[in-house]
Amino acid sequence: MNVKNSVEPDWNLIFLSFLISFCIFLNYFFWSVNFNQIIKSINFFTILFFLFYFFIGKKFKNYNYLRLFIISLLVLSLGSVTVDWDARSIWGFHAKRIFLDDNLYAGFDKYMPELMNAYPLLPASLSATLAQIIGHWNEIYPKSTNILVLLPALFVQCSFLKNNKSILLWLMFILLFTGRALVSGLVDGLVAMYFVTNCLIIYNLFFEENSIYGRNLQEINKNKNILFFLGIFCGIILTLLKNEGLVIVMLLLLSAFLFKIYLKKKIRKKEIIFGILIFIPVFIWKFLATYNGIYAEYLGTGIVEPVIDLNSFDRIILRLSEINTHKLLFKHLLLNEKFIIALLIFLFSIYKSFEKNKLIYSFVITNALIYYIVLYIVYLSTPHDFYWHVTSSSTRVMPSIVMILIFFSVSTFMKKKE
Amino acid sequence: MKQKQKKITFFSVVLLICLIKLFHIGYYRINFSTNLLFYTFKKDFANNQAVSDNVLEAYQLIRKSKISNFNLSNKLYLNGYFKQRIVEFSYPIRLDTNSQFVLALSDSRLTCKVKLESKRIKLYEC
Repeated sequence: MNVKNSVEPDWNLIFLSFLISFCIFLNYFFWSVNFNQIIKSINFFTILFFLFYFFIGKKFKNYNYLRLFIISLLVLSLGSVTVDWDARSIWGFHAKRIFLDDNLYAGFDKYMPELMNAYPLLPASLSATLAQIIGHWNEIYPKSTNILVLLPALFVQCSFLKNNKSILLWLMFILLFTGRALVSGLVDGLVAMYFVTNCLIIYNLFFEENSIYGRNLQEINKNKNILFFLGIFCGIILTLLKNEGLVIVMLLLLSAFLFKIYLKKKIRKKEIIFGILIFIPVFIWKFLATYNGIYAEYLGTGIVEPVIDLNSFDRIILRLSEINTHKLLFKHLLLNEKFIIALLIFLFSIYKSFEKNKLIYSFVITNALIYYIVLYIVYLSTPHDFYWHVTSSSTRVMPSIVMILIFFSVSTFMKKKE
Repeated sequence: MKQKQKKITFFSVVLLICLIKLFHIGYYRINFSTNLLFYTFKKDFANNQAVSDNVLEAYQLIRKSKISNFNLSNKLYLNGYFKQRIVEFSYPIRLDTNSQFVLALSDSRLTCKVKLESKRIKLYEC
């Protein structure tokens, strides 16, 4: 085996990540079947216990920077009021509704349809559990559970980075590009982080042949299964964060299967099962929402001039022919300063280490590019005012592409330096 | 030795950037305060920082009058910020366009009986 090009993640951290992601999913599951409050509370304290274990466990003594990073995010989140529009009117409001109505499906009563009742509510359900434990609602602490949701993604990323140097560098980029989104109660930072993590896991499950899973057969099988189930739970979390998450997972799996076909590699049964299991919870949510008459706004007709009463397809056609549309998209999706920096770092990294990492770079570029095209189409089909939608949300969606470019630049470049 | 010095420089620079960014996020982007941190779980703490005075006053009127739903005057209904914030802030008391209780700015005149009023907002019963 080519030892130099081998990948050996920290399996202890991966295992911890798997446990936390499982508990986060369990919390959502308990809400979805309306379990007893005590069970949800025990599950929540289990997550806190795992976090505590990460802070004191000897196995994780090399992650001091990561520990400091998590503490910093928690302090910032717990020491600030929720003021962002979406953080309040979508995520905070739905969490409050789940908590006060003691029901995950509170939004299905169609009260305030403009507040996105069709959105999946995994992060909001964790906030609601914390509110149940505290016993009342306020405008500060509920958003801090987003940091707990972040943990599995962060742990997976750091476990795949080789050393403290690359971990610190990666944490710096997270702070620079999505730091605020992670602590303000918005979900966009989480989407960006889970995009990276899911891309990393799917690449390793589907393509990586140099991964070191262990020293003996038992350990190898155990770690392979852990990564497989971790991939499922991280995928489920991403699909239940926001509609963008569902689209991202679809893109990742689609590109993974297409790559397999292109590389003339056999698609294994396990990989198909992996793909199916990820989508089950979000499809159940979407089915229940549709059954209760709650639809995504995008499927409806335009609500402002000049696209009023036009369907999605007609809106795209109308806007495609307008030069100002492309100018605006170009300005906000291409001339975004974070995107330009990320692109430069990524290009530098490709220049330095393309030969050894051809496949991973191709996989990342494909996914980033397809997601970029999807964003373009989504903006063209918006039922809202085009200018308002692009200017108000482009800075929130671009970090997903930015983070994926930067993570794989850091990981491959630092690996090369080693 | 040179390698070690390089390593120290790297860690110092990156840590410094992280620290600056943390302060930037905390004090300039999300208005972090240690006071908020110490009272993070206290009921109704910092409500005045979360919403504007108008919304806060309206919420207090709604709560005081012990009603289960309310409506907004045309002017307040068209104020996107006010409508959004009062809806989320006053929940589980709901905005209902058929409600007999109407919130309006104190300078507006509605042909209904004033139930409660504050400096900026009036709650009418129609």
